[in-house]
Amino acid sequence: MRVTLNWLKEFVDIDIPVEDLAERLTMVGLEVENLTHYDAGQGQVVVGHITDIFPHPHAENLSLCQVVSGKNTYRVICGARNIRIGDKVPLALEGAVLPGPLRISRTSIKGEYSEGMLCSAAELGLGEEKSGVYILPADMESGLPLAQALGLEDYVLEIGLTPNRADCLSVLGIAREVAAILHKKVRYPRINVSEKGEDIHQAASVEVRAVDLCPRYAARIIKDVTVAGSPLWLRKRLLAVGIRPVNNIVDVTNYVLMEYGQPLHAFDLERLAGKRIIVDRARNGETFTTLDGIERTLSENMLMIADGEKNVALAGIMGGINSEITPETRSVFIESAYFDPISIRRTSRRLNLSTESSYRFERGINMEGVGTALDRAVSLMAKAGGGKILRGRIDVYSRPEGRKPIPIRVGQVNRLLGSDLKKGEIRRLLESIGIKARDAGKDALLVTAPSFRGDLSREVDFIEEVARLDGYEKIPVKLPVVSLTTSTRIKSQAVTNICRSVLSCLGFYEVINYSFMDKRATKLLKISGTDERNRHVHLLNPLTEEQSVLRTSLIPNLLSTVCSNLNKWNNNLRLFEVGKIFIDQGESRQPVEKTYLTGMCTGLRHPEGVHFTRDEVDFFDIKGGMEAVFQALGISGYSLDQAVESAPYLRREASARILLGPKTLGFVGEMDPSVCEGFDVKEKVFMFELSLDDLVEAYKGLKVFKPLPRYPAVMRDMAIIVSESVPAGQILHVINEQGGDIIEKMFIFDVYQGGQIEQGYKSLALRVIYRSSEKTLEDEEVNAIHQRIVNDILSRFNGRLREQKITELQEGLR
Amino acid sequence: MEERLQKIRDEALKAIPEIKSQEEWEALRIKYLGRKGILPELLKQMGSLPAELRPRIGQLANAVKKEIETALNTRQVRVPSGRQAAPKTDITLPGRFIPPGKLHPITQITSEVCDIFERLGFAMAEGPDVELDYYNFEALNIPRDHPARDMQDTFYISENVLLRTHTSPIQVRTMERQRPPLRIIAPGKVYRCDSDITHTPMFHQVEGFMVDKGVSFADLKGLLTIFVHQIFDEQTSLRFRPSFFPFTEPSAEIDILCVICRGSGCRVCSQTGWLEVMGAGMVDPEVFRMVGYDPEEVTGLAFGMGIERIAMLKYGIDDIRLFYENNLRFLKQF
Repeated sequence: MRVTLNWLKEFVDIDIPVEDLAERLTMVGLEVENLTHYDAGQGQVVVGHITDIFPHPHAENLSLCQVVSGKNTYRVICGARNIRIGDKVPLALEGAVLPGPLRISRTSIKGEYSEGMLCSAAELGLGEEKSGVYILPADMESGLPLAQALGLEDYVLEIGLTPNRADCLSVLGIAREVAAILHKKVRYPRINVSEKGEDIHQAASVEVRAVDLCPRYAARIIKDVTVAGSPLWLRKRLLAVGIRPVNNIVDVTNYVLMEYGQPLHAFDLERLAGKRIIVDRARNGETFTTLDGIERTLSENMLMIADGEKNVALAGIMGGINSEITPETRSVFIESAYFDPISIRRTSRRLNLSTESSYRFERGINMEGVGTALDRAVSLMAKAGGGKILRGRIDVYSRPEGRKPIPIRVGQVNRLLGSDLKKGEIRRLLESIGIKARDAGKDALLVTAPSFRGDLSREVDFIEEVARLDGYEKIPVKLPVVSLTTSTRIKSQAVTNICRSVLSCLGFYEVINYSFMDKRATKLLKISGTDERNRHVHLLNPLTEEQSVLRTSLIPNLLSTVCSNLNKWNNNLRLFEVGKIFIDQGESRQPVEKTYLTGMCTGLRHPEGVHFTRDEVDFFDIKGGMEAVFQALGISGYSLDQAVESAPYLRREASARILLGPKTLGFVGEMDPSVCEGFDVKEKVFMFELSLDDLVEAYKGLKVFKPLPRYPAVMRDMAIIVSESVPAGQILHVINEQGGDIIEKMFIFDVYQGGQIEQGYKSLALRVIYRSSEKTLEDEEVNAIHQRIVNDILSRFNGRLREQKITELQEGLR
Repeated sequence: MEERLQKIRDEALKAIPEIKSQEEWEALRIKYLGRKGILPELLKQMGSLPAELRPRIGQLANAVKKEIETALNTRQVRVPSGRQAAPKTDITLPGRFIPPGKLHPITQITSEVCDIFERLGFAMAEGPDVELDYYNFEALNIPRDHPARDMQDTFYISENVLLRTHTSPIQVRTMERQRPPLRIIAPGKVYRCDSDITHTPMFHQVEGFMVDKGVSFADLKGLLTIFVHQIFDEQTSLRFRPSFFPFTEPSAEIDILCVICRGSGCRVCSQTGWLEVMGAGMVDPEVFRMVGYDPEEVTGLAFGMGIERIAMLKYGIDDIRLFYENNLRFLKQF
């Protein structure tokens, strides 16, 4: 909502600087978002006096003007035909910025210089006329800034109104607030309707058939008007608040719209068939062409204004071409009505057509003010366009029940605000904005809101008024006094935090991608049709095709992140994301939301520099990241297998499924290069994805102390040669099975192929550490167990010993 | 034999102080003490001595050997050491470690915000990203066809299912499940169909609320003052400005003194000196009625903030889209 300071001053005395006014308004809830000094051309446009005109020597259509402004004389080239010696004209000098914006500077045209520009009304933002220079009244003092000469200097306050404050969608509404702030009274416009001639009821009739959608419809008629441009004062005001002047009739309806917040519509009475108005619902499928020239298809429940033969306006939103005011219009039928907010809103939404009128109607206008605004409009029209106002006014009004007074408890005010306000103060504050209040017992008031405050209907609504008018800054600052309660931490939060911290310690950076993805993404991942990840949740109103469905996997957006980083020469990447995926559950149901933890890496394993080799990451780097997560969470007993049908985006030879018991927790491996290519990534990418929900379920957070060893450990190595197809993990599994509790730890310390090892075989070197919690193990005892294990492995995996290197290690008691 | 030993001793003890380099020192050591040196060679001849002389000469030879050794060792200390000294470490070379990654700035600010309220006894809660119209709007006193729906541009999935536009549905879901007293802090992703330099279609909010007997607007002011002082600093003043949210009444916007210009007016605060950082208010009785609480018995306060906004102000980030480009050069800075 835009208002100007001068306009406000018409209704209320303002005796504080405009900056302070803006601040005060903001602090009562009318946020002044912008305060601009409006002075047409920023003082560089002055009143000039043409003292001589001669033709441009090299351009037929141009003339050279000598213009005196104050003590200075300027030479200005002008193309307009309407200027004469002696005319007073607006002269824009070097540095002026005209609306457009157009910056004026000294120029030269066909060899002749020009020190400024003579402006048209359009160039000054004062009207539509652009063909000629805007000739000023002859008595204007030359040299004065134009803004001052025309009384244009003003401030425009742009106020961001919250949806509850429909009453402030007018200059008077804001003036009421200003008056309350400054403890002043509002001076309402004096309306003088001098009626002449026949009674309106003889000239036209109104029938409201849809009373539910139109509880009040009032109208007046003016005859013998002359449609023309509006006077300057009117145009000026409209332009200052951002409305384009059209003609005196339409301008007055807009003026009153801004002044009172009451949308009005002017019909050409001669074009209303039968001189009548019928307010009724539209018929499904009929069409209507609105003023903007667009043909619109209507549906029932849209409220229409018709004349009995045809529709003439989309009620409360926009009029029709078939009844608009034209230069030939002589008789004007002015409508002032109250239309149902919900109905207007629905129609406006349905037709995607929002206007100053619909904006106000859907927020609720002042039903009691319908007649006043109508009278104000006809009186201004008569002034601006001549003509006579017919006697009487049509007013079809099914007045709703009056509003009942509401009790306000002083105790409740202070309980909710934490303040210590007295009844008298509360009363004074409420009365300052036109609320009627009377005593109702010792600690209560009975209050009634004025008709323009439709938003005040409950005790709490009035309490808010008290709070804002007194000022939020006056409410004390306290801390709540409460009884202690306990709460449990959300387990998923704890698990997520552990995962985040372990991965970041390993050099992984956390990213956050949008929850949207391209619906073609799963196809790029080669995910088959029946996979649940193809059950996309579609947005009805996506911003772009690339964000048209909710993601069913974190991989596509992560791959895009990899791609965009590689394009920016961020080559060595370790990234992870914790985020939700969404699986559709059918129409009108919420999707299943699952949380995943997905990591990716590409590029070099180590930072570049003196200490590290330039090795690229491989499968074991990403597997290590995944293992670290399990270790940090204390989840053991997971296993890997190579059944990766459900991860078709991984390279089969270098990927695995992660299982915990029978449950698939996720996948780890190298991305299929052809999948990466779909995301414009040419580098090798490794990734793991884990169902965080399953990790949360498996996470116990239990830590159990095991006594520290009291007896020494014994270490035995073995080097065996087996077929290269035997997974090392299976051998470890056998060792574990055979050794049982006596094995403290074991690991593979070397894998070797080539050299003396024949093709198709590999050499594995393993170390097993034996320790008993009950006694010192004897060599013979360990040797026997170790031998049994070795033999078992050799026979099971068809292997042979490479060399038996038995190292003994006696660890002392700690 | 005795004389020869004496001569060897005198020669050696004379030569040793003259040593100038490690090489000379080594040469002398080999000359006298080396395997084929003068002394060992002499000692080899001991066998040819008469038995009665052997102990005395042997003793003397050992004494001489010891004396020369001692002299050499003493001298060695003073000789500037070359090859044999431990090499000096170039301490200016970088240390060896795998540089840790970082958490996304949004994650960092979210936990900072939640931590502050958890220390005040608030418990965490979560809710679904894809919400029902009821929880996102209706139960929050935003009926269908209400102009307040224009305040947020909503992504719809179907007529009744949508992407939550704020974290406030968590209020309703929590109150449906639990009875007062309640102190809840609820972070989450939210969505609005809007995209430009100051808007992304997805962003993060933290919602907090408290329901108990006698909770007042003054308490709200106290809590949020503590919060602003902790998340920014004690010098950051704040103001409460009347506003409107359908689910709170009275409602307020909270502005902080511009962190860039400290109130004198700059581009970031559009010359106002203030920055809007949060919305808040007292829970509307209508919301209580929807969840079966008695507004005569309990009152509640609620507040919400955009995490991106807080992060941008704290770190001086000027384009919200940077959070979702995930450029490593950006992520490394936090």
